Amino acid sequence: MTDEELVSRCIKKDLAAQKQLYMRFAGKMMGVCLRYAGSREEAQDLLQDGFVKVFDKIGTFRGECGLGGWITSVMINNALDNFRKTKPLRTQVEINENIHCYEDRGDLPGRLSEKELLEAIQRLPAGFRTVFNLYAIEGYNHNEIAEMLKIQPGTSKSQYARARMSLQKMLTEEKVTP
Amino acid sequence: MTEKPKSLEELYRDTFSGYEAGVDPGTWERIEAALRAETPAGDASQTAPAAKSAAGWVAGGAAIVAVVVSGLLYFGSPEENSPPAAGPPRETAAPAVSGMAAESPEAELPAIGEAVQETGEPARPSQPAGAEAETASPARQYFTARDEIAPLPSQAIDKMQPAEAAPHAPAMLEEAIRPAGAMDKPEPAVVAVAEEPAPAEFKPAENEGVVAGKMVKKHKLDYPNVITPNGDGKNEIFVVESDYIVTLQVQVRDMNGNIVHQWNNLHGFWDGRLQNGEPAPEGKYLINIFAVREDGEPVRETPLTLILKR
Repeated sequence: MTDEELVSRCIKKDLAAQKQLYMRFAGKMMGVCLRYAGSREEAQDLLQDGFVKVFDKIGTFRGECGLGGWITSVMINNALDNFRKTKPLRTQVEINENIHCYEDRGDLPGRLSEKELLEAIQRLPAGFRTVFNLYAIEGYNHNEIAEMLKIQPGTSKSQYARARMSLQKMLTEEKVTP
Repeated sequence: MTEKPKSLEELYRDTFSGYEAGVDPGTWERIEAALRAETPAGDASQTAPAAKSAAGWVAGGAAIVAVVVSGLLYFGSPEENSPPAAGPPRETAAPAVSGMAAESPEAELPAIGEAVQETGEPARPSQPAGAEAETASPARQYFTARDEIAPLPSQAIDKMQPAEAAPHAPAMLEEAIRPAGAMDKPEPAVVAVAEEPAPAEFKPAENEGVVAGKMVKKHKLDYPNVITPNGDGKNEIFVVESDYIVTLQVQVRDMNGNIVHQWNNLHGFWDGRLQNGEPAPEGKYLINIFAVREDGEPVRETPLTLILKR
């Protein structure tokens, strides 16, 4: 079945097609949700709600960025909705004020597993995690992120810088202490 | 790939761009339940689940038969080396529209505009920003209307990849830095001293072109001219932002010309501390920025003055 067929059947709420679409993208979308969530349970919830939204809105899919890309964007928007609802950025606790500059290059151990990277990002406060995902992985710039999260671009920048430092610290320290 | 250690961003991007993870069993059932709850009663899709599952069994049986038969055929006639049908190849559904960004930003424009229009109109009453979206920039429209799903800027994944640096970059940096060595003559482009905590004074970015998903492509370097690293979350750090550069080298010097901090990557920043970790004194600092654009052209900002207040 082509993507178009699959989509048009999903629009008609054909359960078999919906399930097929789910089966095809669930793993990848779980990969996305895990990055935005603080825990596996939270990711699981995001995935579930996200797919319900996917089927809800599949009529708006226009094929611009491929089905996978479109579904990913629904998932991310869902994660952001969830973030905005539950954790207003302003109440985020500023972690460690004692910033000093880590040298930027070459600090990181060459090989870090997906698991290690995920655990580190999940340990970040939600605001840091969200900004880091949007900036470093999704590739939005700080002005766009500021729009999305209704914060100042400067806040996005400093959140990002701090997220980055925390991650760097976690990932290097974990490697040093066996 | 080389053994060269990766930056944090590269590491995360590379690891998670195609990452798949296992899903708890029963997830589909819960989604299905939610979908059923939404569908109005009497909907065609809801009518006979029993019949459907019966059909499923039949289909399953048929599939087994098909596999067995093709298996028999396979072993029976070795000259036919087509393997038994193992189902359609799993599509990798690459969501990243990599590459298309750099190629033709303009070409993407109409499609995006259209999409924004189409998806933007049914602004739901629950969305407070609905009215705003009408006059706002495409980017803003995109995000305020995001509930109605606009295209994903997955393209942008490529953006920060440090592509081949222009080979002449180091030499150019030297050149760019040199004039700053003569620190005695103050730059004419000294920024007016900000008396009150400056509200995010970023240089206006020239918006130009639209890249798939990535709504605005900046053709200027974006950086603050005042920083106030006092922990209030505003203007805490000096960073240089731009979407179109591939390499970035920055030096922060004090007014005596001594290097206070420097970096050579797209994500470096200065948090207003000296190299020994002590807070740098308030006052003026000189910044040299040298960057290389995606197309290999160097970008040289005239050395600028940064004001640090706490």
